[in-house]
Amino acid sequence: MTFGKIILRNKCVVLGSPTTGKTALTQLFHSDGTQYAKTYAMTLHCDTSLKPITIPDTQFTVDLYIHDIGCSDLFAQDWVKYTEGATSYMIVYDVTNADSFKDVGKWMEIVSRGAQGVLVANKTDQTSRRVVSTAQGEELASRFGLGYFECSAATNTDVEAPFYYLASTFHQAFMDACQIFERGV
Amino acid sequence: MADPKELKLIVTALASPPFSRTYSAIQLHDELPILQLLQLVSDVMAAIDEGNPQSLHRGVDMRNEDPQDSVARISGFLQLLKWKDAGDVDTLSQKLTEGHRPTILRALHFLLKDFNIHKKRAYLAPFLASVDVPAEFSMDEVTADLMRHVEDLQEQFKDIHKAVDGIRGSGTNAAVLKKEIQQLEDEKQQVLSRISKIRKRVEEIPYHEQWLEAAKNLRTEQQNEALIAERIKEQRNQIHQVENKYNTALQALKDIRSAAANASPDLLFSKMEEDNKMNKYLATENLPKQLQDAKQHIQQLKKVLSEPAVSERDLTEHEKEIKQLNEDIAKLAEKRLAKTTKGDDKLGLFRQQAAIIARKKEGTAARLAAINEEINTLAAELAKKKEVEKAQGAKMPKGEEFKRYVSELRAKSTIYKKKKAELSAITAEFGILQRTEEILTSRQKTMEDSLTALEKRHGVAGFHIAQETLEKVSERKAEIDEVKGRTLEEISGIIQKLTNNINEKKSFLAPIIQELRTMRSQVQELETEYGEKKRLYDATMVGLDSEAVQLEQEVKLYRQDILNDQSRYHYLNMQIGLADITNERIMQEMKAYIGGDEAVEQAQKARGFKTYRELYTRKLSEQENLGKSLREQQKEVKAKYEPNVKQLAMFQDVKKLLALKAAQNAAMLKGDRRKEEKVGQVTKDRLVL
Repeated sequence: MTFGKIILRNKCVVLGSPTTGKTALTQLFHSDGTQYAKTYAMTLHCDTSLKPITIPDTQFTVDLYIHDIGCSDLFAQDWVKYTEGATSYMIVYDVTNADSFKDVGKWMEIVSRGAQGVLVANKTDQTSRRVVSTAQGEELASRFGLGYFECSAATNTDVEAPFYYLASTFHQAFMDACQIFERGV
Repeated sequence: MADPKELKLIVTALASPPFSRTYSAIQLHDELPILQLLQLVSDVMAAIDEGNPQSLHRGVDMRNEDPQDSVARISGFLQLLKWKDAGDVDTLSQKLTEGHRPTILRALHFLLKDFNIHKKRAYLAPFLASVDVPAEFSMDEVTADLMRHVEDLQEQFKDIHKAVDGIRGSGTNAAVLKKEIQQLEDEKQQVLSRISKIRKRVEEIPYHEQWLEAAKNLRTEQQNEALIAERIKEQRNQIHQVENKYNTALQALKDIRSAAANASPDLLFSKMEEDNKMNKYLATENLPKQLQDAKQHIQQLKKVLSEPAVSERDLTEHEKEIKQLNEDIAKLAEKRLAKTTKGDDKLGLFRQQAAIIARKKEGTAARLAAINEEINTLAAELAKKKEVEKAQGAKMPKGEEFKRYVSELRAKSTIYKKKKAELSAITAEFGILQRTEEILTSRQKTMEDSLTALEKRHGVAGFHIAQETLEKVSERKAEIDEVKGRTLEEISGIIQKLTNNINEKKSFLAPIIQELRTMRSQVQELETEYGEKKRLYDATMVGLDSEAVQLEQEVKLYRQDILNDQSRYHYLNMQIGLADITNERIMQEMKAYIGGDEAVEQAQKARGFKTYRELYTRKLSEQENLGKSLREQQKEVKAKYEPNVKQLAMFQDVKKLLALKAAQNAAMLKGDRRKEEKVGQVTKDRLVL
């Protein structure tokens, strides 16, 4: 079938220390920037949402099944179960919270190997309270081999970029795999 | 008629240079005109007579020559070359004048057959022809002297010619030698150039001198080796010979020994005597004979050596002779065979007779040759005389011809006379008529004059001319009318034709038109049918199209649905997974709550709490406590908020004042005193206030 679109399905896991803004980011992205929770509500276990992303100039659409995981220690037992089979992941930290930045390593241990990942620095609008610099974030990202993005859910700036990045890298990986198959045949 | 073999020879000879003319045998035999044949003969003669600078035959065109002359020329030349086939000169020339084709062809054959011999003879003839002097003049002393001189010169010429011929025939031609020398020089040049090339190439190789030296050594050594091998061979041969000798000697020794052992001296002596006799015979009889033979052989060889070198041409001639002789011999042998078969007993007699006859034949042959010679000389004389005669005067017509000529002349003269009389009568009449014309013209003039005069008198001058022109015009008109009438007729004829044509065509077309009509009606029917079908087709087409569009849309929708459902399916699957996880957790929780399972207890220990319920309640209480304390803290903060805010403002003011004062003091320390004092007062005042 050459006509119509081809859908690639991608399980995306969002991780990060509690109160770094994972749910805010996810909701903003899913609602195209219309929904932003004014009050904090702790995520219980796992929230899921589906977001299709069309890759420009191609017939491909990547369906992102975003798993917003509750990262409170209460649910630590089930993190591995939730991340099982994820093809991409997003680790979020809070630029005003040094502990959340330190915890990135811990989250990296949980995610499955071979998946595409991205490191997101949230709350960049709080410039006066910022304690983690861009350079530090980039350094860490390159150490883990992740894409690095900065955004702010509060001001709705650059929220979509990391998701798009994940979708496009996933598509690229798919195309490469296709080429390898063709060559193999 | 000519022999086909001869014809073939002629053709081949003509085809080869110097003539290079290709005629077929049939052309020569039948087609070629006599004149051209004679021209051919003449050309061949010219070629034969090449060596003669004053040749009569060179570049002669027969078409421009008097036939008598050409015949005399050709027959003379043929006589000169001793051609005897056609009899004497008279008959020959007569045949040539008549254009007797076989004779000409035979002459041509004769000329071409021994072309080279003829050439020689033609070259020699003018020099060697004896000068014919009448007897009464030969008595004259001067003349005789001259004649003797001529003879001497002829002798000399003969000798010189022979010498020249010999030199030419010896094959050591200067030109050939020169060519050979040239060739050898060229080769030498080539070899030199090659050597220089090789040298150049060799010079490029490192240590080439050493290489060359080595090559030289190699060559000399190889030669040495060859020499040595040769020597070894020789020596081996010698050894062989010596061994043979040794063996024979041994044999002899054995014989002698055996003889000596078992024989008396008498026997030995007799044997020796026998040997001696044998040797004597050999010495006296056999060897001298052999010697003589050898001597004779040497003499022959010497003779051969002393003779001039034999050229190839001579050789071929000799070979030809030999062939002929062989043939003769064969013939004779055959004859003899025939004779022998007839009768062997009379062989001796016949042989004798044959010998006698042969001798006689020889004698007659000699005589015949002499007679032939005589005939030739006589013929030459005759030719000369004829030439003289020709020079003296025109040839007299012969009696019969003359009579015919006279009778013709007579007839012609009578005709001539008649014609002359007619001519004179006609001229007379012509005169009369001329005169009449003159008279008439003069009369016309006078009449015209009188007419014009009359017109003048009646006042209508020019009437006459006008009338004339009118007449002319009317005449012209009549002509034109006539032409018009003719053209009209023509036109009407053409119209008639056209109408006829049209009618014909119409009649021809009528059935076709009939057919056409039926066809048209058919066409109309078909068209209506076509229209109907078309409408039907269109209608169905439109229906199908709309249906297709609808279906397409439906398909699209369904596709979309499928996609959505697929997405939804995956989403739900995921949810199920999550629900499973939750379910599992619940089960575990239930198990943990009930207790009694070791594995569950272990897990409980590992995670540090028994059940989620416990954990949650604990956490809840913790948080509630935390909330309480925080709320208290909040209350406190709220209570302290306003006075703290005031205090903050006041402290900030103090801070401002102190800062100002510090600045002032710093300025005083640096600035002049007067100012300082003033400022100091002001500050003092303020402080007081």
